[in-house]
Amino acid sequence: MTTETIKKTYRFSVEKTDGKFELKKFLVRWEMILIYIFLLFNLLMYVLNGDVFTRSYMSIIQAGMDLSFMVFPMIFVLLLGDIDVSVGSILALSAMTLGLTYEATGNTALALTVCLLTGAGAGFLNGFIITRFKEISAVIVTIAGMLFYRGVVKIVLDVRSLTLFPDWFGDLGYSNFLGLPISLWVFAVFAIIFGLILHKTAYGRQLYAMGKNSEGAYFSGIKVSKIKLITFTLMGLMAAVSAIFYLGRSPSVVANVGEGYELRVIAICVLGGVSTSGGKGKIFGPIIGVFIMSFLDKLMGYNGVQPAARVMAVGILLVVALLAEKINHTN
Amino acid sequence: MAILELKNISKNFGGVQALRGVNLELRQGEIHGLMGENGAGKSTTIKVITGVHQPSEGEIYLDGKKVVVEDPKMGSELGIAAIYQHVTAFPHLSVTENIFMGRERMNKFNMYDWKTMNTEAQKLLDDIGGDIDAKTMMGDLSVAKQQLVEIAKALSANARILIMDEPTASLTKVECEELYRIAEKLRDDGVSIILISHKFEDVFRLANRVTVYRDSQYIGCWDIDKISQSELIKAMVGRELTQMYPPKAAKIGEEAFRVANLSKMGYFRDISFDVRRGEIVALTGLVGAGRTEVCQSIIGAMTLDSGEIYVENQRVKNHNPNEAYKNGIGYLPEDRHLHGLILDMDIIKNTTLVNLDMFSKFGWMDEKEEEKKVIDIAERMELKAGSLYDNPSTLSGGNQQKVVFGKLLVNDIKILILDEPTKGVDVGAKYAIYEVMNELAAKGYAIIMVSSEMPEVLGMADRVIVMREGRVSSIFDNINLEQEQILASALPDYNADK
Amino acid sequence: MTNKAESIKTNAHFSAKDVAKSIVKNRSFGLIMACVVLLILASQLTPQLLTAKALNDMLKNNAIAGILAIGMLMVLVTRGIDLSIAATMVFSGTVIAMINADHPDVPIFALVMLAVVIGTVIGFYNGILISKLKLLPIIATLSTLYVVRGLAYVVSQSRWIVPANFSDSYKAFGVGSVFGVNNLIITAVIMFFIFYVILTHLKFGRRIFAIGSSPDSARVSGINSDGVIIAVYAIMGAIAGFAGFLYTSNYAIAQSTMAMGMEMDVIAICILGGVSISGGTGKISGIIISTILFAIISSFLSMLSGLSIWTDAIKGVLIIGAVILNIYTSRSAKQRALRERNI
Repeated sequence: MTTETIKKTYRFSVEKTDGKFELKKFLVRWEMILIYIFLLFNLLMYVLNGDVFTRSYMSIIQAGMDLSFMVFPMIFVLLLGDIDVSVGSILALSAMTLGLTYEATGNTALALTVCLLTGAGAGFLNGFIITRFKEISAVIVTIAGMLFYRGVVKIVLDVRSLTLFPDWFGDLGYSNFLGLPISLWVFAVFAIIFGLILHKTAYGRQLYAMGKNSEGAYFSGIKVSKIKLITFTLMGLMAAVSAIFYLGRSPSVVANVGEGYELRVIAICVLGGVSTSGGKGKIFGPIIGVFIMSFLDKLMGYNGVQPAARVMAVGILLVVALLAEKINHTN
Repeated sequence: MAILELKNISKNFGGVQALRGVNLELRQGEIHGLMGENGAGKSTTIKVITGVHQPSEGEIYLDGKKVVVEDPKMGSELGIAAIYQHVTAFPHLSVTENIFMGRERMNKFNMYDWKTMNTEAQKLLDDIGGDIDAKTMMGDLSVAKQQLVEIAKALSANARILIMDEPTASLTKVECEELYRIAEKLRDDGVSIILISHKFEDVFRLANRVTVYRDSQYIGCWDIDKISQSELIKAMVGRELTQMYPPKAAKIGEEAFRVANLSKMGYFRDISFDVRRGEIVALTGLVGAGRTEVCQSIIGAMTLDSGEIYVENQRVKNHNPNEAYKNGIGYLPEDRHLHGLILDMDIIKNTTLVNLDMFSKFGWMDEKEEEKKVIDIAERMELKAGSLYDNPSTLSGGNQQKVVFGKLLVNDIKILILDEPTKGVDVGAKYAIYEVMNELAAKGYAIIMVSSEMPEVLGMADRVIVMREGRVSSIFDNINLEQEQILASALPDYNADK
Repeated sequence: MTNKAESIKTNAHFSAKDVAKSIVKNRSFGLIMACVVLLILASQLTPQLLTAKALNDMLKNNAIAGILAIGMLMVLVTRGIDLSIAATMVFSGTVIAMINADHPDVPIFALVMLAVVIGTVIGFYNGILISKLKLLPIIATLSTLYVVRGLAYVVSQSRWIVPANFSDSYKAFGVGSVFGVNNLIITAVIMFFIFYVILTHLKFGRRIFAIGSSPDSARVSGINSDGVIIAVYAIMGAIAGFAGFLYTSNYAIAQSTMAMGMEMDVIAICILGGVSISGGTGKISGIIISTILFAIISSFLSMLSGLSIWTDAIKGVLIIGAVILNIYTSRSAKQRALRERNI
């Protein structure tokens, strides 16, 4: 049997199946459901707290921006099938080094650099241990990291609080630019950058591959260790960025700064449709999740729900999102 | 007389015919050998007997009465026990606990009666004579000793039929003798044994009769003193080479790839061979001989203890598959679902994964370039798919394999290591893959093909390397080479004179 | 003769290596050594620790962590984790403390039962999420942690219940003693014993280890893995609920933000005590020793002025160190197995 005499015809097409636009399917997509929930909260708040609501619309958004920067790399970590519960502690550590450096030198640029390096360094340490000892799961390493980084803050600060920060930090937390909060602009920029990284770059491609089938990715020549290391370092770096914006809203560092942030960040990601077993999730869902979270928070705040109880709501939200993801998955 | 009889058993796994009307007759108090190549159907037969699988056709008779073994638990209750090469035990629990799992002895408070269990277990172990302390943790024992524990477990469950699947595969000479002694003792105590083994020594030493399977079919059953080793081999491989293979046009050039004294403790030792440009070299041998481990060590997925690798006479060290690609070595894994494909990512993305740099500028993916390249590769492979943007999960086995193969054509590599390239692929797709292999050889690639299929080895290879128990047993030129020669070299203790 | 000199040298070398090897081999040996070393240090730096009263207090206060570690041991053996235990403890403790403060005539026994029931319900909920709904234990219990902490806050309305609010009978347990040994210590000892028996002699206990050792083999052997896992988390919850009573009785305080982060202490105690994160192994004896070691470390640090702030950082390092130690141990076991293959 020879093949030269047979004229070759294509036995496949290059049709992109998601090129077809079905309105019905689009409207029930997870991201759309999130938008509905967001609009629902807006409606509720308008009805219940009308005046206060419309006046402080921008500040509601602003309140939720500081930890939002950690959401992006957390998506990446979750896509890998890992988790990082040390981010709150890294935030504290970075905020502390920023404060100490500024206190000692008064040099803003230096303080910011030290802050970012600290965050990236802590993230790198996490990633290093995780990739060096493949038998240890990210769960345990980041639990230990959570204790250790905050432990360092406790040692250095003890009962002290750092309160000396550049004046313009407050702008990050409270000022607007062209009618929108500065932090929102920055958030938008990061959203675009991370979105492009995730969906358009080789790195993003490798993240998905590793999360869907880490063995397959490895045999395809992906440098699994390198990607993990980069991802955890990035996570730490963005925790430091969050620290800067946190200080913008509340210019004081005490030992328990950022406690509980890891839960919120993970909850936002899971709510946004990112699967905790890896390989599934996009940038858009968690972006909406950020706003849902801050609006939910304010909705409860306006209606007399105490902070501690609000945390409970986040926990419930997380479980509901997890269950929804499970149901979605089995369908 | 016959304690167990399988009549005309067939087993179908969704299109794959694992057993085709096989028979087996086990007599009370005998040791019955079962021999055949890889994939001949022995393991599936065992699973049918123990109740893991249900036969699609045929009957099983126990003590002359027809039975249906619904699940392993029922098999155990019927007195059937099996000991596999890969022990399925609880490594963190003690030997005693493993033996009595599910059938624990309780005291009057309904608590574990460790004293009684330990004593009974120790007695069983001492009877078998394995020198094992019942209180040791299972995971601390050697494979040989774990096997003895499994035997003790079977005895403790009053097994009348014991199936031993390659029991001597991981044993030393001394441990083998131990096992023989125990097997003979069991037979003398009235246990009927089915012994699956590649080792003639096992079969000729222990068995009364031997049955041979080939290509999922029953070939015959003989008294052990009425058949010779070479006759057994003929029974195991004797097939007509009817399948056609595409003609070869490759001119064999100089050395493209060479390995010297590759060793990895516990897996293989002193592996040396070379491959020339345009050559297809088959790496064959029994399962467990170490072929896949050698390949994975070459590409860096496993670490090497010692040895050198040369690509076009340059020494290379591969610490991971990524480096292997960069050094010009491509690998098609044995298990395409586990290691070869990412099933929920589209065909294009799967293919370009091996060299994302090629399709990106400063990290930014160029989807147009990707599409172009993959269309080209898909054409060459004659891939049949709905769309290249579909996931491989929608493709047939053969086409899935083509996608995995296509990945190898992305990079500029010189050496291809293909681990069971046509495993699970239908006949039509096989031919297409063979065509591609010949085409690549003609282009000057050096190809190493791991294969367990004799016809394929003889039909495609220029030279045949046979591995046996972690070492290179023979290297044959494929000129007038017979299947029997290959199998003989692969079997652990074949002796032509016996 | 040089031979003798060399052999002496190698013997000396051998014994340092020997010690290191036996620490790797026998976890308990290493822990006891550490306890001894710390106590020696304490005798020099903080002699006040070695008084009968100080030691009694130390053991008393850490008994609760030890009791919680029993439950965590079982959870870890099944390859899971439970971050919600401190929240459960605080929630149930706060609820019954409030009842006691407002209705001092409710029998203490009933309150204890209530605390256990509350804890069991929460634990059962975790168990369902993890075994039936197949959620990852870390995330499921993390969410439970926050829900329950929030519940504690909502129910208590951020109320502080101080010693004066408790009835004497409630506080009696925490301060009471039997033959001079504090009730809490006795309770811990009793519970260690009970669970030792359960884990070594009862079918249920052994099933836990089987599931953790090899989930596949467990399935083949017909073990009801789902049921066992739900029960394990429910028991963890029950223990946490009981600990709620112990904690509030001991400190005579109830407030929804107390014992923050205690779950980490308990996890650290377990890992130090030789419980493997990957499941299948864990000993009560290891937990007992590591609880004591942990107690000594905490007390030692708190007595060295200004060093109590080092505890968190030290815990973090200890966890990683213990896990890495576990890894090297299992790697050398694997190497041994390969060497025996004789190829």
